[in-house]
Amino acid sequence: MKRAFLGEFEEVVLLTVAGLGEQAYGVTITQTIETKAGRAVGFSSVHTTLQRLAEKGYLTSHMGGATAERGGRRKRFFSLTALGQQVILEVRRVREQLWQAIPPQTWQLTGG
Amino acid sequence: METPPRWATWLLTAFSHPDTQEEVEGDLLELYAHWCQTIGRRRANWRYSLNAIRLLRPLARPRSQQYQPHLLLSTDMIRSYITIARRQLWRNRLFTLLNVIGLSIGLSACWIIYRLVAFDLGFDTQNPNRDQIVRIVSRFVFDGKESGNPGTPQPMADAVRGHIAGVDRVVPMRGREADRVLIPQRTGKPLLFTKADQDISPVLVDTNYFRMVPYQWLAGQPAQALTQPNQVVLTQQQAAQYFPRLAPDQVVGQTIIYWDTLRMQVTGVVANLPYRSDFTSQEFISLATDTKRYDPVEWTNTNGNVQLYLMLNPHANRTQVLAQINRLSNQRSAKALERWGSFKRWHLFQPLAELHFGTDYRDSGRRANKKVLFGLIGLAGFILILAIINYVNLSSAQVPQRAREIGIRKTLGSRRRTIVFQFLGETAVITLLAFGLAGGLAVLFFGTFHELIPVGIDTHVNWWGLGLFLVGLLVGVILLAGIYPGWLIARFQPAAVLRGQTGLSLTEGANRLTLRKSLIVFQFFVAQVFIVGTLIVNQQLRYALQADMGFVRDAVLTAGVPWRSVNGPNPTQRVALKQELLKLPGVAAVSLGNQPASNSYSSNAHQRLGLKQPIEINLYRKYVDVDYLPLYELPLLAGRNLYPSDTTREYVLNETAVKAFGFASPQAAIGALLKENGGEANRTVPIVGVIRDFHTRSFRDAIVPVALMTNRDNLDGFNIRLASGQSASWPKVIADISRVWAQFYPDAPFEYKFYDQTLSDFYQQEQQLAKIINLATAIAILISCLGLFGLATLTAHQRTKEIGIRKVLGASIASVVTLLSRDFLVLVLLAIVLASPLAWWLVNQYLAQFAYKITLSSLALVGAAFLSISIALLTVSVQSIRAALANPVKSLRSE
Repeated sequence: MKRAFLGEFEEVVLLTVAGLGEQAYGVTITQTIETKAGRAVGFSSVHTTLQRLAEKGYLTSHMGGATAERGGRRKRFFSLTALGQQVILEVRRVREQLWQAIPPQTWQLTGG
Repeated sequence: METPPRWATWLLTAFSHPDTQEEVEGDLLELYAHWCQTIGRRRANWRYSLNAIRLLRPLARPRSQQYQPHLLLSTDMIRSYITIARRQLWRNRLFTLLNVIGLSIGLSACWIIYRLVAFDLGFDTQNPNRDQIVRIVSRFVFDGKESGNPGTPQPMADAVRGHIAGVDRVVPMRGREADRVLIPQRTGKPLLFTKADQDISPVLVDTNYFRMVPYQWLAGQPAQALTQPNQVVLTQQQAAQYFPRLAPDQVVGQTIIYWDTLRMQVTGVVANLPYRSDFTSQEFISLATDTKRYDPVEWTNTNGNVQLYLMLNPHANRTQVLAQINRLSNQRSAKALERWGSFKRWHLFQPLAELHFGTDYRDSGRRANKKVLFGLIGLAGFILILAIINYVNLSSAQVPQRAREIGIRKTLGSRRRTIVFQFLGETAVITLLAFGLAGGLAVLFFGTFHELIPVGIDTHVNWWGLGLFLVGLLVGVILLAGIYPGWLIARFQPAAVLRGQTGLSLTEGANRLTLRKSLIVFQFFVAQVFIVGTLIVNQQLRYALQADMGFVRDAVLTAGVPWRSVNGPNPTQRVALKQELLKLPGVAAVSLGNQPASNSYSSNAHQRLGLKQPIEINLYRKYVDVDYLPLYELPLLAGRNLYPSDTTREYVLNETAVKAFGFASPQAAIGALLKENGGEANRTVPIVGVIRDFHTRSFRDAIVPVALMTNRDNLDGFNIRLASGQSASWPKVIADISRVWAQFYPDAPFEYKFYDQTLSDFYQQEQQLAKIINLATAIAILISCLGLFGLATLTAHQRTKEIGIRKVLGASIASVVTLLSRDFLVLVLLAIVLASPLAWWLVNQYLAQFAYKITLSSLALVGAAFLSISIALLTVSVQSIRAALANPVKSLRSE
C-alpha cells in the first residue's frame, strides 16, 4: 500500500465530496466546509484543491445543471473515484491505528 | 438581482483558466447572491473581487483542442477524397478508360509537336550577337517569277567593308565542296577521309567569323588563326576524327591536304557550339587562301555558296544601310548587266532569327517552314481540345449518378470550393494516368515515324523549358477539363437531391443538352474536314507518283559522272565508258546527259531572230547526247534528232518553247535561228527538231520551255536503261556495270539511283504531309468516336426504363435501335453539312499549288460523308443494339 500523499485540506475536501454525493459542486462544497468544519474557507482555495485532487485522480467530474441564476452556466459536479475512496479509507485507517495506540491515561489530564 | 462588480467579472472572463472558466464564473455568481443575502453587498463585493483575483490564471493554455476549421486539405479529407475517387473511377471503368485514352492522345500530340516546334525555334538562340547579325540575300525577277538566293556577289564583301556606315563587321562565308581530305602521316601513306564516311564541309572565313559566332578556343590564338593563306581551324569533333589520338594542343601545327593539292596548317581548335546552330561547318579555312582576283563581271553572278553576313551597329538605321547596299550593288553590276537584258536583282537583310525559316533561300542546312510549324501547333491544339471536350461531355453526363453523394456532402457542411476541388482532384488523377500513357505513346511515335523527326532533335535539349511546358500543360488540362463539371456539381441543391430528384434537370436541361450536342457536332466537323483532306491529299500523291511524265522511267538508272572528271583532263573517258557499258547484256541503252526531270536546272534567255520584234524567253537547257531521245522514248513531233557534236550546234525544243517563241506549229519552227543572251556572242543556233512536252520538274510546276543540245563538256550524268522484263537479273547487271565503271573511274565508286526513286523524292514533302494528315485524321476520328461511344452508352443507360417499356408495348429491336441512333446521326449529318464547304475550299487551296492535279469532284465529298456516317453508325450501334436486346423484365424491375 503506497503512502497516501494527502494534505489536510485536501482530506477535508475529499470527505465533503464523499458526504455530499450527487450535489457536490463548487458552491455546495464550500458552504458545507464552512458550516461543518467551521473554518472560513475561500472559494478559490476550494476550487484549486478540487482541481488538484482531480489531477491526482481522486475525483472525477462532469458538467451539468445550468440555471438562470448562474447566467446559464453549468456546474461541475465532482464525485469520488475508486482511487479516491481507497486513499480516504487508508487515511482513516492510519489515523485509527494511531488513535488506538494512545494509552487512555493521556486524556485524564485534560478531562478526556 | 444584484450584479457583482463589473471589473472583477471582466477580469474573470479574460484571464481565468479556460478549462474551468464556465463553472468558476457560475459558482462565483451563485456565491455572490448568497453573500449578498448573508453578509451584505459591500462585503460580498469585496469577497467576490478577492476570489476573482485569486482565480486568475493569465498564463494558462487550454488543454483540450477546440474543433478548428481545417485548411483546404487536412489529411483526413485527402484520404477520404482519394478513396472516393478510386471507387468512383473503378466503378465506371469504361468511362475512365475512354477519358484516359482520349486525353492521352491529346497530351501526346501536344508533347510531340512541342518537341518538333521547340527544335526548329531553338536555332542560334544562344548566340550573344543574335540581334546584330544579318545575312544579305538576293532576290531576282526572272521570267515574271520571283525567286531568292542565299548568296551575294563575291566582290560585295570588300565593297561594303569600310564604305557603308552602320556596319560594324563584314563576315564573308564561302562554302566549298570537298569530297576527300588527306592527312599526311609521319610514316607511310597519308590517311584518306572521304565524304562517304565523314562530314567534310569546309567554309572559307576570316577572323571576323569568330567574332560573329563566338566559340570556345581549345588551342591556338583567335586573333591570328586565319590571317594567312592556307590556314585551317577545326572543331573539336573534326579534330578528333582527323587526328584521333592527339590533344588539341598537338593538333595545332599539323597539316591537312584539301583538294589533293592545297596543304593547310591547322592553327586552332575550337569546341563545338553548345547549342543548336545553323552554322554547321566543322572546318574553317582562311579566306586569304582564295587568291583569285575577280573581275567586275563577278558582280552579276550569284552563287548560293558565296554568302555575306554583317554585324550591324545597334544604332544603325537598317533601311538606310540596306538602301545603300542596294545602290552599291546596282552601280557595280550595271556595266556587266548591260548585256543581259531583263534582269532585276535586289538585296534584302535576313536577320539571324529568320535564317532558319528562310525556305525561299535554298541552303545546305535544314530549313523549317514557319507556316507548317504554326499548322502543327494548331493541330496539336485541336486534338487536345477534342479530347478535353470529350472529357467534359462524359463527366458532365455522369454527374446525376453522383447526385446523392454531393447532396450529403453539402448537408454535412462542405463548401462549394471544397467540392469543386474534390472533382478537380479526380480530374487530376485521370489526367496523370493519361500523362503516363501519353509518355508511352510519344516514345512509340518517335520510334515508328522517325522519318518525320528531324535529325538532332535530342541534342541540346532545353530541359527546363520542357519541364515547365509539361507542368503548364498538366495544370491547364486539369483546369480546363475539370472546372465545368465541377461547377455543375457545385450547383446542386442538396434538398432537391436528397428528396430524390436525380438532378437530371441540371444536366439534361435544354441548355446543357445543346452544349453537349454542339460539342459533338464540332468534333465531327473537324473529323470530316480531316477525312476529306486525307482522301484528296492521298489521291493527289498517288497521281503525282504514277502519272505519265512524258518519258520512260521504268528500269532507268542514273549516275553522276565523278565531278573531278567533269572539268578534268579527260572528257572522252565517259564516252568510252558508255561504249563499254553498251556491250553488257542486260543494258538496253546508255545516254549521257542531264536527267529529264530534276531539281537542278540551268537556264538562260534566248532570242528568236528574224522577226521585227525579237521575242525573248528564258529557255531551260538540257545537255544530252544523241542517244537521249531513243532512251527516254521522247517522240519527235517535227524535224529530227540532234547530230553528234562536241559543241552546241543545234537545238531540239519542246512544244512549250515552240509556242512561247510564237511559232505557228512545230513544223514552222524547224530551221529558225535562236541567239543566246550573253553567251558566246553572235552564236546563233538553228532548231532542228521539236519533241512532245515532258515534265521537267514535279507536278507542282508547269512545263517550261526546254531546249536539248549537245555539248561534250557539260554531260555530267549517265542514264542507263536496263533490259526490262528481267528485273530478277538486274542486280547482276548492276554488278557488271559497277565492274566496268571501276575500270574507268577507279577512285570514284559507282553511285547510282533508280530514276523512279529520284522522281518520288520530288514529292518528299507531299509524302510527309500525307503521313501526317493520315495520322491526324485517324486521331480525330478516334477521339470523336470515343466521345460518341461514351455518350451513346450513357444515353442508353439513362433510357433503360423507357426502352423496357417500349419493348413491352411491342416495339421491335430495329425500331429501338433507330430510336437511339437517330439523335446522334442527325448531329453527324449536321456536322458533315457544315464541314463540306470548308473542306472543299481547303483542298482547292492545297491543289492550287500543283500545276498538274487531279480533278476534284463532289464524289470525294460524298464518299467522305459516307465514310463518316458509317463510322458513327458503327460506334453508336454497338450500344444501341445491346440496349435494345436487354431484357425488359430486368430493366423494369424496381428494387
